[in-house]
Amino acid sequence: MSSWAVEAKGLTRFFGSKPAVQSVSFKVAWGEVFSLLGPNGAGKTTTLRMLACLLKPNDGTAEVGGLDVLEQPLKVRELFGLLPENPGLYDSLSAQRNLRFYGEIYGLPPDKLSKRIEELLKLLQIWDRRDDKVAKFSKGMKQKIAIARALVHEPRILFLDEPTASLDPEASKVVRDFILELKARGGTILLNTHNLYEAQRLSDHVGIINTHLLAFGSPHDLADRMWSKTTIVTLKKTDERIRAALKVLEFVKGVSVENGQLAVALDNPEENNPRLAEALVRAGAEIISMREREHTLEDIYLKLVKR
Amino acid sequence: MRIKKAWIVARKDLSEFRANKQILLQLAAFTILLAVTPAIIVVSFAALTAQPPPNEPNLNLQINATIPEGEYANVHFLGVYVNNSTMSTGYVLNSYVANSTIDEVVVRHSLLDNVTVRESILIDCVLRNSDYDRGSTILMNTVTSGTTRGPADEFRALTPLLTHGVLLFMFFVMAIALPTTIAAYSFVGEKTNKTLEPLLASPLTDSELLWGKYLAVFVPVMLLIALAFVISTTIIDIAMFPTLGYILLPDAVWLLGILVITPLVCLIGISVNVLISSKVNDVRTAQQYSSLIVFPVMSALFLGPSFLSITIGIEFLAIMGVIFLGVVALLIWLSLRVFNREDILTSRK
Repeated sequence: MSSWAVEAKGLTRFFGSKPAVQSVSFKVAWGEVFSLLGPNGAGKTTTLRMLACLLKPNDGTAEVGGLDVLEQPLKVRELFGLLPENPGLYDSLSAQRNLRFYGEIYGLPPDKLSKRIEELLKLLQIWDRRDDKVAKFSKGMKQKIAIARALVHEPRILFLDEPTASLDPEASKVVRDFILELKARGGTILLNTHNLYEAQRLSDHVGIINTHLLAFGSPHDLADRMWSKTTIVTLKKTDERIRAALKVLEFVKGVSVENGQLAVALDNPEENNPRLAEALVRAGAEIISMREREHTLEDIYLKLVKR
Repeated sequence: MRIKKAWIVARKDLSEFRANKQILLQLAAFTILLAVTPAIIVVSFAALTAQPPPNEPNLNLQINATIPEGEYANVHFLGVYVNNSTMSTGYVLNSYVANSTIDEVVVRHSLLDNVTVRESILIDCVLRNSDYDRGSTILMNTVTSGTTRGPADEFRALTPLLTHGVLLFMFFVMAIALPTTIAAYSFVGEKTNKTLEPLLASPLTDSELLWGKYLAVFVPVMLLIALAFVISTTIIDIAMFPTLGYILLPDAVWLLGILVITPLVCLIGISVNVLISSKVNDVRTAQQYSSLIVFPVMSALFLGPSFLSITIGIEFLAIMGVIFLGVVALLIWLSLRVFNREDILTSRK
């Protein structure tokens, strides 16, 4: 067993002369949720399709479960479950029949398959409606059934392409909760999204992509790498004298005023925040609150994609 | 290629067809049409052209002698009774021949009862309960009656319909028309409903997927054609047996047509459809395009014999069978060649 669940090695794909994905490399560990984040047309789906052996890269390759997608596509396809952008269920067939069809393709023996279908449909709470035609289900339910279909052969890796893109907020929540549940059960999930909240909520690591992979890491690490740490201080009264007193401190990198608050850029806040407080008090400031500024994934995303 | 995997795909398609009223309606309509129409045509044609069987004329035979049982060659029999004998070459006149075989004999003004006739000429005779080789026997002013084999004279009018394959032709048309309508659902349907992406991401090879699609159309179409064939020939036989005295269908031509030509024609229909499907993105367009192929194939089968002035017989069907087999092999090979997963996924955008 390979140590990485998914390993993209310089994936490149052109459509005509237009590059869709260029030299994208990343690694996804077993049991983690990895989000590919990017605007529409950034190459998220193309990247996922190359990993799912649906498209061949023009250059580079990838390994899924330790197998090369170019050399052993048929074996790779047995390792993952895929939720495409459209659920792609057979509307005229029942939820159960849809799952059974895929279970049979993956060669599950009938007894085991029946048990597996029951397990999944009960988990999704549609066991009572197992014989209803898929056409009768809501969009969110269809999406859940499609995820169940991707899971029917108990793959260790799950590819989700925009799992909540076309869903209303309620259905999105249903699907997101389900993804979190899968994560809790130890599934490795690679998902595409342009929903920053979703990526932040769900993922251990994110890759921000816009044809090229712009950044890769955990949301927290990315923020650290892109901005110096900032401590936001609210004082009863701010004046030039206090700011001057801070600027001379050797660990302070910059001081600015934002919305009446002091934004103090500094390294290593765990050690330096107490020293900052001490200096402020000594300068005669009355501190109401101090907090570290969190950079959201949105900040990171906007900074990377819009530049 | 794992045929079991292909069959899984086919079974899924069949479940989908079962849930699709339009397909069911088409299949049912075609089957009923095919089961009933040939029977109606044959039976009504027979009724319209039927004439009362001619009365047996009284021959007023003058029998003067009985010939002992035996084998005779170069006979010159006049006014004799022959029983349980074999005659080859010669003349028989004004005689009564029973339970015998005649070969290369000219018979005139005689009664033949339960006689096997080959390569002979019968003039002014009565041929009763006998078996005569239609290809080599000439009947002149001769009345046949009883269980004489080969279409009785009063049903001669039927033979173009039956032996020239006009009715058999209906089965060929169905075998190519049915696939073109339902195969469109099977393949383009996957595309328009966007169900193809997860399917292509599953561990199925191209040929398993394609063969699944072939089977999904081939199996129901052939079953229905077989059913329609059994029903229509049964109706025809039940209706015609009392007057003909023998079972008319299926004969060798019909069997060859149903067992060999219809499956091949059906496969041509499907493979052309699969080829079209890979380039077309909606069901109706696919159906329209593929209905175009009905024309050349049917022309070959229908007009070919007329131009060449031959009947749709064993030889013609055998030749067409070989040609169609080649065409089918070529089309299937082509459909596998042009099947391109990437095109299918990216072209619909």
